[in-house]
Amino acid sequence: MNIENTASQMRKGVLEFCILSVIKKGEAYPSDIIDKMREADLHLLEGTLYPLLTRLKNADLLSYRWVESNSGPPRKYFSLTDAGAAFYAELENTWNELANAVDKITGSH
Amino acid sequence: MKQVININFQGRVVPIEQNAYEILKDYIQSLNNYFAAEEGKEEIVNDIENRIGELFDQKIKAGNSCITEVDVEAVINSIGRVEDFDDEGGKEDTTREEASSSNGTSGIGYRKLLRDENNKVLGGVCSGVAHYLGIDITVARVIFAILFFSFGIGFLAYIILWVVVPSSATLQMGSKRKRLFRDKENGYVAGVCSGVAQYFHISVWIPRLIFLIPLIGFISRTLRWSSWGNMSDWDNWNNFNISYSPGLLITYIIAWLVIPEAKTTSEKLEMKGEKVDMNSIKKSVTDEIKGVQKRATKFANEAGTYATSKGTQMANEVTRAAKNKSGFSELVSLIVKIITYFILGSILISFLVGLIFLAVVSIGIFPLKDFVISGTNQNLYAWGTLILFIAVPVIGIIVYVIRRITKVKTGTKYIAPTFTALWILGWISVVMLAASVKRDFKKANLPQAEDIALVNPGTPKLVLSTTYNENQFRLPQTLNFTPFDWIDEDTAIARNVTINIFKSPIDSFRVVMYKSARGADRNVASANAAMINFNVYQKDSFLLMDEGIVINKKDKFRNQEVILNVYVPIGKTIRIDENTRRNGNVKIDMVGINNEDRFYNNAFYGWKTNTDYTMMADGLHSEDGDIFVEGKWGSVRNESDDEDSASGSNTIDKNGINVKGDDGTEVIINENGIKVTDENGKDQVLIGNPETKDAIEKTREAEQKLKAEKKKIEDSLRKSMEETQRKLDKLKDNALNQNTAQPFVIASYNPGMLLSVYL
Repeated sequence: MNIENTASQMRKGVLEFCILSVIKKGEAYPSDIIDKMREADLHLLEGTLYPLLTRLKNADLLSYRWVESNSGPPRKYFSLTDAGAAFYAELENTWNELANAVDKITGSH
Repeated sequence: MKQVININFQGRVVPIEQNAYEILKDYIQSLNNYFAAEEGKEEIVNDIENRIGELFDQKIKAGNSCITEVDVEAVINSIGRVEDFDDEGGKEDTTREEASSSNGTSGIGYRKLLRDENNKVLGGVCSGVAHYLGIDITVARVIFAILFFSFGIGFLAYIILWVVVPSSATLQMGSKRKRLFRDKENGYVAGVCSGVAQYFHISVWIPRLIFLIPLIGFISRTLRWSSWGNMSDWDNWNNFNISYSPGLLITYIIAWLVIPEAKTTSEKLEMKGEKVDMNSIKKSVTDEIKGVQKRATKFANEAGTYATSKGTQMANEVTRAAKNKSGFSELVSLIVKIITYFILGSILISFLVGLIFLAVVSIGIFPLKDFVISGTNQNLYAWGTLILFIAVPVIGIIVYVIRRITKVKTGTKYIAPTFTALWILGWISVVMLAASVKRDFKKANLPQAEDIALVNPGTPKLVLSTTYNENQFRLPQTLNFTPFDWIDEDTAIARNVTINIFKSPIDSFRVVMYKSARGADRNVASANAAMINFNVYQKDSFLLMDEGIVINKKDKFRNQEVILNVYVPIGKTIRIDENTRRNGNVKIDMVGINNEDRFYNNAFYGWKTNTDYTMMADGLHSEDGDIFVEGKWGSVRNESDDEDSASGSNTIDKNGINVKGDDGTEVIINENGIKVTDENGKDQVLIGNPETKDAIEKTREAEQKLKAEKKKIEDSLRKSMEETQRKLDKLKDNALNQNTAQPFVIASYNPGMLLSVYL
C-alpha cells in the first residue's frame, strides 16, 4: 500500500465538496478558488481544477458568467445552480455523517 | 542571444523567446492529448490557455520585455504537468503532491528505465541502467565494455537500448513519449500486430504478415505430424520448407502477455504518440550527434591530461593500494562484483538459451512421439513435458525479464505462482514419462540366428546394396535422432542395422540375420522382435536390403535391431555401396573396426564404399592396397609414398634414384648419368657425358639440388613411416578394446541416448 496514494484518494473524495463550498459562498473565479483552498492548506493544481469545473458545469451543477476584468480578457465567474445547491446539500449531509462516523470510529471524542 | 517572436495567444500578442515558445507548444500539446477523452476538451484547454495568457500578461505588466523560458516553466509548474494530474479514475481531480520539478524522474513513484541525459558518454544507456538497477555507473560501463569486446553482444544491446529506452529528457517534456500498446479494437487475436503497427507508423498488414508466414508453416507441419486425416496433399509443403520454428508464435504470446492493452483514450493516444516526421527525426539525430561530438572531444582532452598525470601516480597508487587494505579490498570487491554480475548474467542467458534449444529440439522430436509412447497416460505425459516442462519456463523467464526491464504493470500477482505450479506439473510429467517409457524398454529378447536363403551363394562377388527412397520426408540434418531416419504419417524408419563381415569357412557366401527388440518383459520383447520385417534377398550379385526397420505407430519403437553377418569365402569379393554405409552401421568384424562417427571421412572408417574387397586367407584386401587382416588394420600404402605427393612415386634402390613428382617432373640418377626433366617434359639437366665447363657447372648445381632433394625425400619417408606406425598403433588399441566385447551382445538400449543432436 502506498501511503501517498491512499492520502490522495482521501483528498480526492472531498475535493468536489470543497470546491462547491467555496462557490456557494459567492461567485468565484478559478484563481480565487485555488487561493481559498490553498489558504486552508488544500493544494490543488489549476490544471486539475479546470476540467473539474467544466464537468460540474456540464452536469448543470454550476453556471458561469463572463466578467470584464481590468487585467486582461474577461474571466469566468462560477456560481451554483439550483441543482448544484441541492447536490451540495446532499454532499454536506453525507460529509457530516461520514465525519461523525469517522470520529466515532477513530475515537477522537 | 535569443530570438524573440510574437505569438497570438488567446487574442493577445505575446512576445516570447523562441525556446520558451517551443516548451509552451509542447505543454499545450500534452494538455490536448491528456484531455482528448474529456467531453469538454476544448473548453478545458481554452480555460487553461486563458489562465496562462493572464499569467503572461502579469509578467509583461510587471516590466518584463518578453516571456522567457523561466517564466514558462513557472507557469507550467503552477498549473501542473499532465504527469502530475492523476491518471486514474478517468481524469478525476487530484491534489497536488509537492513534486519537485527539477528532476523529472523523482516525481514518478516507481523507477523507470531511462537513458540518463545528465550523465552520459554516448547515449546515456549505461548510467540509465545503473540507476535503474541501483549499481554504480562504472560497474555498468565495465560490464558493457566487456560485452563489447568479448561477444559484440554489448554493442547490439547498447544500440537497441539507445533506440528503445526513452531519454530522461523526453519525460520532462511531458507528452512526447509514445508507448507500445496492444490495439485490441483493430486486432484479430490480441491486437499485438495492430499495436506494433501503430507504434512504428506502418500499415498493420506488415507485422501481420511477418507473424503469419512462419505461423502457417508451423501449423502445416504440426498437422503433418499429427495423424489428423489424410495428409498426403500436404507433401507439397516440403517444397516451401518454411521454417517450422515456433519462435514467432512464442514471441506473439509473450508480446500478448507483456504489452498492456490500450484501454483508456489517453492510452490509445499514447499508443499513436506524436507524429514522427522528418523534422523531428532530423532534430533528434543531429542533437544526439552534436552531443556525442562535444563529449568525445572533451573526453579526448581529459583522457590526455588524465593519462599523463595519473600515469606517473600509477606506480605509487598501486603500492599504496597494496599496503592500504581498505583501498585494495575495495578494488577486489569491485572486481568480484563485476565478475559475479557477469557470471550471473551468463548463467541466466545460457539457461534460457538451453531451454529454448530444448524446446526447439523437442518440437523437432515430437513427431516421433507416436512411434515410441503408447497409451493415454504416456501421451498425456509427453504433452505435459513439452508444454509444461519446456514451454512454460521459457515463456515465464522471457516474460519476467521483459517485465523487469520495462516495468510493465499489467499485472497480476498470480503469474509467478501459476507458472511455478505449471512447471511442477511439467516435472511430474517428465518423471512419469521417463519411468513409463523405461518400463517398456525393460527386457531384451534372445536373438535367434536366421539363415538368409541366397539364390546364388557361389557368386564371385557380392554387393551390399540398400534401397533408398528419395521422396521421403527426412528429418533435418541438424536434428538427428538416432536411429530414426525418416517418418511419415504412420511409418518411421529406424536405421538400426549392423552388418558384420566375416571370413567364410566354406566356399560360398552365407548371410545370417539376427533380430532383436525390447519390451516390458521377455515375451513382449520376443514378439516385438518377431514382428520386425526386414527384407534381405540376393539378386544377381547384389544383396539387397531394406533401408531400415519399418516402425509403425501401432507396434511402436522398441529398439528393434537387425544384425546381418555376411560370410565371405576366400577368393571372393565383397563391395559395400554408398547407401548401405549411410543406412547401416557396417563393421568388418574380423578387424573390429567400429565406425560410430559419421563425421569422419571414409578413409578414417578404415574401409571405403564402392570399393571391391577380396577375401584372402589373412583378411580383406582392396585393389588399392587397403587391407583388413588380423594384426594389421587400416590402410597400408606403398611405403615410399609421400603424403603430399600421392600420385608421384620415388624409388631409391640399387639401380639408382628415381624421383617422380606428380606434376611430371622427374629426376633420374643411375650409372648412365643424371637426368632432370621439368614439368613440361623438357630435359633441363643432362649429365653423363659432359662436354663443356658449363655443363660441369650445371652438374654440380644439379648435384647440390639433388642432395637437398634426396634429404627431403628421406625426411618425408621417415615421417610417413612414423605416421603409419602411429596410425597402426592407434587402430590396434581400438581393435583390442573392441575385441573385449562379445560380438553378438546387443547393447542394452537407453532411451536417453536416443537423442543425439549434432549442431
